[in-house]
Amino acid sequence: MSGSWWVRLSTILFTLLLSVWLLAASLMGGPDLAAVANDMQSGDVVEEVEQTWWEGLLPSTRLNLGLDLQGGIDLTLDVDLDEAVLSAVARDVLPLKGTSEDEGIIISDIRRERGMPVLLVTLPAETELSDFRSAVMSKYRDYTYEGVDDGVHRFALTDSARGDIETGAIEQAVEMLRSRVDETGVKEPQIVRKGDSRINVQLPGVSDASQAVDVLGTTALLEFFMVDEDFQAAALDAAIESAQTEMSPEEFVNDELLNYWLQDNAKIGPKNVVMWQYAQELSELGGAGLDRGDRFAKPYILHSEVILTGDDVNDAQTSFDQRNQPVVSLEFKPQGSKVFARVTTEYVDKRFAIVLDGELQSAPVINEPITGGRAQISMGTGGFEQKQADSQKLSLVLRTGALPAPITVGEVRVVGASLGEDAITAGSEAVVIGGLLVVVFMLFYYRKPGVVATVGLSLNVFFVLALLALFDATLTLPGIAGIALTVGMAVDANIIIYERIREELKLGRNPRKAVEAGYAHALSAVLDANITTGIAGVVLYSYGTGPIKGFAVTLLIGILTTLFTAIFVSRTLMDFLVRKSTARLAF
Amino acid sequence: MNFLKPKTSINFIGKRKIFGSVSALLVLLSIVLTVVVQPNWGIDFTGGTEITIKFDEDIDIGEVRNSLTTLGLGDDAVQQINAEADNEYSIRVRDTTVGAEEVEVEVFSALSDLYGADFVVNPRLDAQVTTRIIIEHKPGVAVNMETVGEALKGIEGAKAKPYSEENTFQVELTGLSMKIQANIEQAFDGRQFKVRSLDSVGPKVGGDLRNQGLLAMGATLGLILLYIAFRFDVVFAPGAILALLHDVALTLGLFTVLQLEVNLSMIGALLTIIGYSLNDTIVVYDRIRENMRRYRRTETPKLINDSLNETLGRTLATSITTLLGIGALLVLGGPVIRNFALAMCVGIVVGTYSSIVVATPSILIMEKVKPVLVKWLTPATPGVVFEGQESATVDDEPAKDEVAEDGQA
Repeated sequence: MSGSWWVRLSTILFTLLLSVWLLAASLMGGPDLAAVANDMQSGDVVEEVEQTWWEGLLPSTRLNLGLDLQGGIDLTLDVDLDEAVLSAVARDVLPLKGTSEDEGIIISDIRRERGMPVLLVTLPAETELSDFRSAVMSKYRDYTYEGVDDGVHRFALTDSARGDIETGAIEQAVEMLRSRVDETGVKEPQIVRKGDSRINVQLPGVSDASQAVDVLGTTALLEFFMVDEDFQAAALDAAIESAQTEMSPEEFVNDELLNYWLQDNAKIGPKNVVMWQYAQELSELGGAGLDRGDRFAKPYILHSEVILTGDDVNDAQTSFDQRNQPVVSLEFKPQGSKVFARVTTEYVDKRFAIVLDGELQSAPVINEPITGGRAQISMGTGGFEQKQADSQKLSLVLRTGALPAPITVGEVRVVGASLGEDAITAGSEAVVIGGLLVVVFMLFYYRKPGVVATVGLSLNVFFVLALLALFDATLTLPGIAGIALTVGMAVDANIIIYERIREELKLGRNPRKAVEAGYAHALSAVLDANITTGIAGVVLYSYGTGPIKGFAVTLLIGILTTLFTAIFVSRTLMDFLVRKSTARLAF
Repeated sequence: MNFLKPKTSINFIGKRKIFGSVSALLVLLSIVLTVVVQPNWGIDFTGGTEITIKFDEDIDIGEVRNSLTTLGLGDDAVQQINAEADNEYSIRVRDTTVGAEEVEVEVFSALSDLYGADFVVNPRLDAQVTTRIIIEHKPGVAVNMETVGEALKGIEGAKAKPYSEENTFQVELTGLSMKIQANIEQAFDGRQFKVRSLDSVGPKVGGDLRNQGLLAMGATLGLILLYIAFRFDVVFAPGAILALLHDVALTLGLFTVLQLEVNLSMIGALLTIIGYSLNDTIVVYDRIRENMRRYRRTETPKLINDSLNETLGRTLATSITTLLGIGALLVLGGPVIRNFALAMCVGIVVGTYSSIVVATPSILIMEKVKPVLVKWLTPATPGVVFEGQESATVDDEPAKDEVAEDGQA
């Protein structure tokens, strides 16, 4: 054993240095939320340029503080998948009717069975079922024929189609939530799927629950307006110019205040309304837009009358036009298509505006009257990729406006920043004092080997934190409790081994032999104990709601580091203590 | 130094009937209490709302209660927490439909004014964190969302939204937790206070959390049973599980007596206790396994008792250090983890006790039961050989049945 000294000691040293490196970024502070917020306010961007050479060498992952420690809101949103499936089936009613008319079959009646993903089709007497199925239903492969009941044919949605709709609905909901959260400007939000039908949203540093629920928990409001092309652009430009000089920068970026200013100064009457289109890049607005702080905005003067709402939209999909350019295909419900036909006939060559939750999304030009209830919206500028991305975004907006899957808030948890601070203070105090008590006990009870155990314990905690940083994990209050338990387990591993060495010494072995035999005999107990606790940890992790998951992660990582420090690190140090055959071991 | 005298030998096995009766009594008492009195289930499992607010000036609890009377909350919904000087209050309501019925009535009357008395056919109140009423109405009435929205304008927070069913729409209402917060903000306008925490759990999520928690406990126990049967012997496994159930029952029982809140982190604590108690049991089992291999001629009860005494030093040392660590969390860890730490402390004491007097003596019982079981099962299913039966090291020992019978001395 003694020959491999240097190998073993350097392994420990290397692991230690690696941990220091992994923790460096977390200890340096990094993108501290409060600091970022301050930077934003003072407009101080110099810091980003000032990255020194060694900062580039730091790991990109770091140890994050959980919401319970830094304050924030944790929301669980329930996506109503049953309703998503039902409304998808309902949306197939009209197209199916259209397709069968194209095939020359006039369906007597088609509707969705109440509360079931089943289409009920009544065929005219002269139409054979087999003809209908081969001509029409072959194009709707998502449905299987279930039989006939009192002259009504039942076509049920297949399970795989149901699965696709559900997955789509969740992904769409995640996307919608992400764009809504991004709009609010919250830093480092986390939006992840949780289970089959839930979405977890974490908003660090936010404390107003009702506002968060308002923003995230309500379904989108989609509205269609007509752009007032007769409005004097010069008057608007002049008003904006005066606003820029007369208003303070804070007032200027406030939509509400700016809108009041424009109403007064550009003489916008009650028949008109100002709406803004926002973008991160000026090019997305066709080059014309105002710099409104963190984003660009372009004003539109609209007729204040709402022509249609999301309720009138049946479906929207991204597709390609004759020139193979990405477009959004839009389909209205019967009532909506009548209104749309009337409006588009009246306003050819003018623009209509699609407004989602008060924000203008797109203002396409009406090329010709649209009477069939189906419209194609072509994307304005940019290359193919840009157009495709835009059209996907718009069709998403149109669909979410069309209520694919209603979202309800299932769970809200708010931790005020003050509580988070208190928790950090109390938690770290408790860990330090608890640790000190354990160390004092070990030194008192085991003397010299107690020092070895203390070194091992300190390294253990250090390794746990380093691994947490490596996995970019989040340290929560239960996580700290997990570390406390790890310390307990590590102490126990040491105690099992030391008690065994004591026994071996009592049997009259010399210290070196006793240490060797002690470790050999204690190994199975240490392993079994840690593995069984590991089983509990794995189950906890997969049960995994936020706080418990944090606990399980530290527990599992702690088991790994405990095995490493107890079996390898402290063994090496103990061997070092008894390296001479004359060494004495006092317990 | 050492806690124990060099040749400590306590006859645990001889007193196993006394220990066993005490444990059985305590477990029975705990189960009865848990079922009859019911633990103080937290809103994590029942659904509901809990808000903690802290005032920067002296505010009497009556003032807080007064601010909430319009919501129809009982007086016991508001509790003072921590010291009186902290001016910190918690408002807890389990029933998320509180106050929603009144609004529901208003909504219905507004709708019948608009569309006639028999308009609403089948309303469904869905009170999660946000509340909504899903209203199925008389077929054949053309309902316009904007008209409904106008009619509901006087009702606080009510918004009409379409719904995918035929003849159905929904009315979104302000959730209870938001109403409580709004009431407090209004009543204490201009005075300094902070919302320290707000938790609101819909009954749907709460039910799922409870089921998942039970499932997690079951899964953990099952996996551990398998692991011990595989690593040790089938006669070892039931004792370990019995000890775990014993610990969980006693901890829950104590929490029921003290009416401490059982919430999500308590499930975590219970699982940690399971892990810890198991750790203890495994260490003793490990020694028994070792001694069984080494001293094949020794009678099982004496062998087990010797193993218990040999590992006693470690058991005490570990329990004391862990208690020191968790004790610090209990005293200094703050209100958020206090219950968690308390559960852990209780669990450590009970877990240590149970691995000595529940898990280990069970081996003796199982050894007696095993041949009977084998006899019962073997003729009924010829050809089936139980795995544990062959690998069992205890089977190697001669005349173990007789030894177990009179091995109490």
